[in-house]
Amino acid sequence: MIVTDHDEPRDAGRIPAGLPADASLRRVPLACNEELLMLIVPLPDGNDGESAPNPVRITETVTAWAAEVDPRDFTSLPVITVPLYGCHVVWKPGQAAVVGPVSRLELLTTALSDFASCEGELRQLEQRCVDLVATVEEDAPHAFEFEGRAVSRRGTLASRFREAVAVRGRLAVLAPAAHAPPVHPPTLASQLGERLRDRTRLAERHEFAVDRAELAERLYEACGQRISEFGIAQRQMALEWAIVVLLVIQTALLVVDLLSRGAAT
Amino acid sequence: MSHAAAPRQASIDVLRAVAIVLMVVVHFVENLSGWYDGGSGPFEGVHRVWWLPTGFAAPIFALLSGMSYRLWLGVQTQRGLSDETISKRTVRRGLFLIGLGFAFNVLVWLPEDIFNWDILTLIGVGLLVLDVARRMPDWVVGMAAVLIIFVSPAMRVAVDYTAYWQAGYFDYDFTLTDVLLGWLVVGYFPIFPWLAFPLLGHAFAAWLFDGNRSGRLRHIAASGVAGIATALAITATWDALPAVLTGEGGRGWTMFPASTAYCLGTAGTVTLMVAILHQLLDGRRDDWGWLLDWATPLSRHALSMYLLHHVVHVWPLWVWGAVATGETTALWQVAMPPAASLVLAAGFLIGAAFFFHCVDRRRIPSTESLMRWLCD
Repeated sequence: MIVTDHDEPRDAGRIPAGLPADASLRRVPLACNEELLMLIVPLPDGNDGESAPNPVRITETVTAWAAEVDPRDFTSLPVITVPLYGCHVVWKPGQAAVVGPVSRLELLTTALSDFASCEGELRQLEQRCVDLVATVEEDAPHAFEFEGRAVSRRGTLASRFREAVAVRGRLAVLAPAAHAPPVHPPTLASQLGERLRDRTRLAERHEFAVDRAELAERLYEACGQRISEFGIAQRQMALEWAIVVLLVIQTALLVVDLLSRGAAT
Repeated sequence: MSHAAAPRQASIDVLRAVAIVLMVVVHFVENLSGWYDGGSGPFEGVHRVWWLPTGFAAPIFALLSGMSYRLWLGVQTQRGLSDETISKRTVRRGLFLIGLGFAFNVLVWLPEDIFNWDILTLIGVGLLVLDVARRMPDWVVGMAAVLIIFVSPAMRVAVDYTAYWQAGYFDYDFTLTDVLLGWLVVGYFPIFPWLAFPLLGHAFAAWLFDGNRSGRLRHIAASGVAGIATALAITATWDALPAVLTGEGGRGWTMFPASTAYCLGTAGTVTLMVAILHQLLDGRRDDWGWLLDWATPLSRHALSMYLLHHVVHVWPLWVWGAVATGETTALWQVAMPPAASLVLAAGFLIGAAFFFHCVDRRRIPSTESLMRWLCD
């Protein structure tokens, strides 16, 4: 989707004033089921003298545009600005701007959306890890011993185990992208990706998330084992009780029979 | 009987009140008029269809004792009492009821009937068994109850049940064999098959008061209908069944001995009633205030009511007989016309309702509070 109305009031969904007429806004769907609002400001390839737009002013404008707080965004993450070979990339979660020569824009937008997908998914996984870790203390006793009164929590523990495994799996899939080694020879797109990963501490965040997911996975795996052991013990106990009941009834029949013989004689 | 400190379920209160009313009516009429005028009165052959509901009193009491125990158990667990403490309290309550049952037999039915194995001793033994059964999975408890019901006829055949019953009452010798057989098979409320009721109550309470509401109600209702259907099938095919399945002493639906059809039919009906009342009443105490105002005191003091109504009508009967004829039991079952005993029963119930209202209001000690004081 491209929005080109320059006269609308300034906000995150509109192109800010003072940019070249061919600046455009795109909503780029990301692999993590989010959307990246991307402001693309093409600059002429050559120097057109007086008529050429001022790159410094444009960069300030798009940075200010990205820095505007989206009312839906409560995290207020800082805006990251990456200058790169005469281009400027501004990024924050859900919002980005690319300023540069027309010939490089396609490479930059592709690299930017790749990074945003990776970062968006990691951010979602981090939130899921936080939610999981928040329940660890509450559920830790069940990893040591599972009691009958906790049977009602069985479904909850099972769903948390599935969630931990799912998060762990997604983090494993994400690992190559988060820890991607530098490409040689370097390209514009690869350098943008590296710098953005570096500035957003993507690799470290991924490692922390893996640690949290592992903690939850270990805990809920142990809970699963305890629940399984408890279930097996319950089934065995039920069978034993059933045998005991049968034996008691048989003994009662025997006693009644013996007593009736005694009474008859 | 009543187990205080358990959360009061309106369904159980109403059903227990119905049971005590039925019990008072049946005891007044049968003890005062059972054979009045040669048994030709309006209650001739108390097996008349409209007299049938009175046979539900004892099964209701026995089944509700299992349900009440389950609820009581939940409260004790919530209070954080240890398993050992719960067991001790249960055993003490069981022994209290057994002791009370023997004392009741001696004082009301005179010493020669001490081992007639009345419902108090049954519920006392039931509590002792439930202390073990509470550790079992519910389906095993249910299986035990069904087994008890189905092996009882074979036991009655083995011991020659009819030999122990003369003229409609349990007649035993003071021998260890007869006493034990009375407790096991041939008494008024022997553990085979009557123990099945507390066990079934305990197992059903798990379905009714734990877990998903719609699911549990369906289970309970289905179990009740299955019990009734099986009872009807047994009654319909009675003549074709072997004696080892039907037992001795009666055909089809009999309370003494408690036939298989009677056990399944009453257990099924009571279960169905509990399910229906649970749906209608529980959690809606405000909508049924008038009913519960009347039923709750009767239910709460069911044990006291059980003792009191016997004392009120049996002791005067003994005194009257002794004075009039010189024989204490001379007027038993022939004292007055059934209509007169029905009026006396109604009068007692009205008086008892007011009396136990006062007991609650003024916190006067009762048998139930004595049991709690001694056992908890």
